[in-house]
Amino acid sequence: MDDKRTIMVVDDNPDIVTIVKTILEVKGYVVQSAFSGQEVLSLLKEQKPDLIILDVMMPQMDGLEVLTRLKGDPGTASIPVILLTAKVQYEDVLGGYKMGADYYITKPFTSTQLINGINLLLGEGKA
Amino acid sequence: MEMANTAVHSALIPDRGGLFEAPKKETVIRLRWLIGIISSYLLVFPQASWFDTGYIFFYFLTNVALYFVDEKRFDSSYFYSPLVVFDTLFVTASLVISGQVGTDFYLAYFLVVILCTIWQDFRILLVVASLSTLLYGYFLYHTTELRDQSVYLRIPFLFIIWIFYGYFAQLARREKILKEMAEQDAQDMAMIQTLSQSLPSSLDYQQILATVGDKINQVVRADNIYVFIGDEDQGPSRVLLFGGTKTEGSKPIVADLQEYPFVQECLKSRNPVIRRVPGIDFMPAEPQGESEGLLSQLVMAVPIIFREETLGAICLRFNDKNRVLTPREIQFCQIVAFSTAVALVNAKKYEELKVEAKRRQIIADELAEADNLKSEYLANTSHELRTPIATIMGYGNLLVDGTCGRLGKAHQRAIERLMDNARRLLGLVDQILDYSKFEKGERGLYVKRQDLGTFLKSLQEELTPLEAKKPYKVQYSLSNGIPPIETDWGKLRSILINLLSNAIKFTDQGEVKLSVANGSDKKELFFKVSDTGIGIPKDHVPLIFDKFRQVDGSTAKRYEGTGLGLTITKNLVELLGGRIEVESQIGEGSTFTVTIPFSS
Repeated sequence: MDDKRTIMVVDDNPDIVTIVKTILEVKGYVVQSAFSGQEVLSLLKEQKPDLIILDVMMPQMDGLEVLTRLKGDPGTASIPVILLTAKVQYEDVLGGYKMGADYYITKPFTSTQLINGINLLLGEGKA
Repeated sequence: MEMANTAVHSALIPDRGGLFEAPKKETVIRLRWLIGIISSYLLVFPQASWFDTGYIFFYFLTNVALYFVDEKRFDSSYFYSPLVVFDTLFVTASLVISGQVGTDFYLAYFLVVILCTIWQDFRILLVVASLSTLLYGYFLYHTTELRDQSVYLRIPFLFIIWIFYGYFAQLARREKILKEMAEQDAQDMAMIQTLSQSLPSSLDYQQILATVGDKINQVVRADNIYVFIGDEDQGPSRVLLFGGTKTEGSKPIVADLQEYPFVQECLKSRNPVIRRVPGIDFMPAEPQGESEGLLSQLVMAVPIIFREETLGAICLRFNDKNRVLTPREIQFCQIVAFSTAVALVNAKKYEELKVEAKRRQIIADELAEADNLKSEYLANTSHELRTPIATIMGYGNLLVDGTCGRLGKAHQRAIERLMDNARRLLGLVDQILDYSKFEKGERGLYVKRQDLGTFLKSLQEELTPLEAKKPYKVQYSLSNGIPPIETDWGKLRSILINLLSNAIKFTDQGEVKLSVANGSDKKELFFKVSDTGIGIPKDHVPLIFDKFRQVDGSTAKRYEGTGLGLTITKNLVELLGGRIEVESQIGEGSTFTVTIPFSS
């Protein structure tokens, strides 16, 4: 394995961040936590992660807006984004993909779902 | 109305009742007997030849023959007119044959016949007949030198002739009048019919009043027609005044009843009022000079009454002050006023209904809005609930995976129970979300072509956790030769998951099977979910697709659920254009068959 991959986890609910972080760290990823849309944007100025796991429903700036900004900025457009959301309706999923999400995971999720998604996007075999 | 009718009729038909009410046949025959007897006196009294006797006998025979004639024939003038001619000839002939009456009698006789035919009133005719007969008797008594006693027989003869011809002349007149009245009635009825057809069809005041004016003018030909309508908003003495020249209803003006005393009187007495009034203008907008220079004009006000309520009055103005209104015209106006009342009441009711309908629509909209809000709230709640569940299950998974360190057996069991319940909670939340989506009508179809085998495999994976506690595995069978099909797989998945998880839930031992087969015409797919579970009582079968229903409270406690599953399932099946059927035997199990159309 190369240098450790960095994954940014964004959710206003710290528990979700903790769970995702725990799962990913076990798998050997470096995890950056963020708890709001604004935080994501400021963190991105310093360092660009290999992948972003983004919650949709957040106060102030929601995940879809963050997604739009990321995909609209040439500097960040290439970072794959997984939407992690409680919105499970077909229209929501389709909407997420239309706005540029690369993968969509609904809450509640299992570690397998998460790892499968990451592996798919980062093109890695099972760690 | 009824009373007015009778009054008019009795005024027009002469000598109602009495003689004319009796059957004609009877009266005619009786009169002829009298004629016969009187004539026979004339013929037979001094000395009768065989010819005289035969002559009289023949006349009596004709009268006897009349008894055998059908009653109805006497109603036809084609029957009784020749009869009268015959009788006239007979009587005149008997006068001639008897040869004992002088020119004076002939004069009296023909005078009687002529008077009878032109006299209008039968009762006065009777009086004149009696008087003139007496007069003739007096005349005879003083002029004749007691030539013969038989001379006095001429007196009753004349009287009988009076009655006989009076009767027939009156009969003919009466029939003519009746015929005219029938024609007029038919005309009126036709008018009333068009009126009653055209009035209720319009629900607008202006239009109703224009029609009223039109109809009245067809019969009564007034110079102006106005309609006064009481208006609650305007107070008791103020009314809305519609009308103008002839028919066209212009905008109503507010009028003070005090200025129209005859209308006021009409409204108070609830009867038609006819007055000659000085020339006045009713409406300020009228063409100038219309009634100027008229010293007086004729006006008639007819009340518009519905049930006990006086709604207003129709007012007609005739510039010709010598115009005479016939009872028929007045009656016609009353009928029009009655129709107008009905139409106005209808229009009023219609207006009220419109307002009511509007009010109800607003309520319905509010209810729909409230329902929408409720569905939205349900959807939001369900989303909100998913986050804490995700947290619980996330931590649970970390513990189960051993990410947070190895657990003892007891811990593991506890965590598994925790996860089971979290999953169940998630299922409930999902059902509420599904249901709220139905209520909002948010269910489009997302059709995709896919292979059934792959689909069943994913279904199996999804249901594995549910099977864990049962001593059996769900059996899946798929008939050969089903091509990849196009359908909404998400919905199909929800349908089968609902049915299968129910089957597993209610079946503690035995088996649960899902078999998929296609119909013989290759247009339908059958998904059969059968179990050997507790079954459904027969009388509950029609109800199981209802909202919030499980067979009974006690079962519901053992097998928890929102009770929304089957309702949603049925709705989903219908969205796919299919149908769902259930067969069940209590204690032996249930079979749900979902049939959906497909295209390959």
